[in-house]
Parts: sequence; structure tokens; C-alpha cells
Amino acid sequence: METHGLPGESRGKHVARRTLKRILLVEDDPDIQTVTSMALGSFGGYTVHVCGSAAEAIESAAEFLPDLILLDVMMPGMDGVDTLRALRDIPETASTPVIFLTARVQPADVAKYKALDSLAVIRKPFEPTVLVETIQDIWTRYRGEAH
Amino acid sequence: MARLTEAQRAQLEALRQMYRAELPAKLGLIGGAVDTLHAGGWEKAHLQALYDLIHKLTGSAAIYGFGDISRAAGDLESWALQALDGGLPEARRLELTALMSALQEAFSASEIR
Repeated sequence: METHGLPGESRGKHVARRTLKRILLVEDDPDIQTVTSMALGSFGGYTVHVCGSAAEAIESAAEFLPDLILLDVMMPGMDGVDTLRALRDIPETASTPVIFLTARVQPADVAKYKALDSLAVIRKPFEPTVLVETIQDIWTRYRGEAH
Repeated sequence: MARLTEAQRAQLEALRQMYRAELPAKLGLIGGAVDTLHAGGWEKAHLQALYDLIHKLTGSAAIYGFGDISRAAGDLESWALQALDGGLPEARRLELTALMSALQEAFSASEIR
């Protein structure tokens, strides 16, 4: 699975205080929601909360208190980039690690996502059976960097 | 690929079958968007609607393991993107029919593993 901007390259502003248990998935496509949440929940054992829009994510993030946010970039209305900015304005998610999910991984796009203090970028389409390993790998490196 | 239990493998396969069962409806929506495009004089809003549907199909079909469908949808997505950007000569509008046929054929050839 292709990833960009792994934690070793990130700006390292996050503070890893918890183990990875709770993942907020922000994805507008119901088909991708279904298979991704199944992979994260069933294969990874994570508690997953799915939001179909930026508005839903902004509304529920403070209550769900995710350890990690998986954020689709291309969504109708508010896109992933603006969603991240809005989540950073919420005290509970101001420093929550974010991984972008996107098909757009041209160098200029990736540079933009990295500049937004995201942990990594996972390229779409991804293989559901290796998504958990990819996230675990990103998280492990992130934890190593943060300590 | 991660090592999955039989139960996990079955769960994934069940989702895949459900996704495939819904593909005719998705293709129907795309066909409807093509019809609207033709009927509406190739307005940009109609082109955008077609692009949005195809873009979703390209991504989701690949994630569910339908590579040929994703590739056929990807060809159509590229065509639609070019048309949206205004870089598509009018003569290339004719390609839409062939691209739609290729997508339909990819679906027909798809099998449950």
C-alpha cells in the first residue's frame, strides 16, 4: 500500500498520549465507508466511528475523542483539507493525528497535505486487507518519533 | 496481504458480493447521467455529475477487488476530466459510447471469486 509523508517526515507536533484504539473515519462514499470500517473494526479491532461529511465529523469528533482521524480529501461541500482546519479549531482534536486518504498523490498534493501537519497520506484505492497493517506501521513510527 | 481468519475472509467476501450486486444500479445511474448529458447539450453541470459518479466507481471498484471495472471506469473518468477541463475536442465526444460499452463489458466479465 502506498503511503506518503510517513511520521519520520512529519512535523512532529502531535503528542502521542494513548495507544491506538479509536479511529474516526471521515469518508463520503458509503461503499468505501463499509469496507474500511469493517477492515478497521474486524481486522484491526479498533473502535470506529464513521462520518459521511465534514459537518458530521466536526459535530461528533469532540464527543468520540478519536486517537486517530482518517480523512478523505475529496468530499462534496467541505473537503478534507478544510475539515482538518476546522478540526484543529476544536480543542479536543487540535492535536489528534490525521491521515489523509486520497487518490491525488502528485508531489504538489502530498506537499500540501504534509504542510497541514498530517501524519501521512494513504493512497486510494487501498487494499482493505493491508490497511490495518499500514495504519499500525504509521502509528508505530509516529509513537517512536513522539517519544 | 494480511493473514485473515476464515471468518474475516468470509466477511470480506460477503461485502464484495453485496457490492457487486449493487453494481447494475450504479451503472444505471451512470447511464442515466450519460443520457442527461446528451439530452442537455453537454452542459458542464451534467458532465460534472457524470464525473462524480464515475470517480466514485473507479475508487470503490478497486477497493472491492474489481480491477477491470475500476480500470474501465478510470478510462471514462479521465475522459470526463478532460471534457470538464475543456481539453476535449468535440469529435472525441463520440468516444463516450465506446467507454460506456467497455465499462459494461468489464462488469459482465466480473466474477465472484
